[in-house]
Amino acid sequence: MKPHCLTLLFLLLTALVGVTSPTHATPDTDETYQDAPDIALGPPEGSRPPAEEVEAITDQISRQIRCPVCQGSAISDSPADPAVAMRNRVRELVREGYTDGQILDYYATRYGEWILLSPKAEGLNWILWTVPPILTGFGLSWLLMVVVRWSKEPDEVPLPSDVGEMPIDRYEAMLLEELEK
Amino acid sequence: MSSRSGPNYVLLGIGVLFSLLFVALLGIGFNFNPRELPDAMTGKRVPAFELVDLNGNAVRLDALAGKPIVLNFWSTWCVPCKQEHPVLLEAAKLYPEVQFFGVIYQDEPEPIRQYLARNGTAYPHLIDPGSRTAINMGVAGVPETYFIDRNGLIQNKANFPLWSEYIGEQIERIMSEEP
Repeated sequence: MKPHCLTLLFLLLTALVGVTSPTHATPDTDETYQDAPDIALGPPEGSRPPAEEVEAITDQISRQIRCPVCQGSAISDSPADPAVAMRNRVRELVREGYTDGQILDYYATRYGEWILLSPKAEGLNWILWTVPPILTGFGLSWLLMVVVRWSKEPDEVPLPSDVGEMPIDRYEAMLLEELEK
Repeated sequence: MSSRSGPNYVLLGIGVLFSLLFVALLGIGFNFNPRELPDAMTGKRVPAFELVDLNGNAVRLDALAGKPIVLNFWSTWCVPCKQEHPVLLEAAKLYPEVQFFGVIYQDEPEPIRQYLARNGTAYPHLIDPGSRTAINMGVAGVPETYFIDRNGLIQNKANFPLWSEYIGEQIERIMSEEP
């Protein structure tokens, strides 16, 4: 690898650190508030599901929402009161005909993307989705190269005597002498 | 016979780069409080709500248009909520032009009544069935306090116990916003 490749790699890594660094985007100016979003929940975009499907849909959506008072678990898995309340709210929205996307948006709008256990594949989040497979690919390629290189190396170095040369090693000579006895 | 001795500078460079990246990420990570939750509500319009207070009076947010509001989510099982209670009482008396509300979070009306009877109150406390309003406001725990200006915009959300100077600054801010 040439020096400019190293420089390029360094710049890429620096850029990666830069764009993945969380920032506190707290609006602090009046201009920011001029277009303050109205987060009122619009009308449902789906249809009301049959009663027997409500629980399964609720569970499937709840598995994607983080419990805010737990350590890395979904609201579907937590018995904590806030998680139960959030799950109940999901159930209500499902019953009313809100789609999965609308419900996840509802929570992400109020709590931030952080509340979603799987960040949406959009904007800077693409980094989270693409960098790990790319790095894994690089790792596997490197591993494959190492294995191929090892497999090409001869298993054993032939002794000079095997190729018709006189033994040059004193111990090999002694061994041959012993074998001939 | 070729010699392969000496350091491999390319591998060394990559190793150093990745080490620096790792240290940088650790440095960034250590700068954050793992208990601090992101605030997604500041800068947004406060979602409409209609709740009933402990005396059975209905409170509609849209009926309060043009008035700065302090909305404090709290409960009696929350120790920091009890610590900030006197601060809120004092502020509510100091700023009568600001509408204060307590919103009861994951608690029953009776312990709230008993607590308020012992410690006093200066503003209505609203019952939030099923924590629907709390979820609608993005409340992740208590105490959480929303400072809403006359235009219905959330100017700040505090997810920690308040102190006098802080609440004073925030109230001055929401009062300064023109309708």
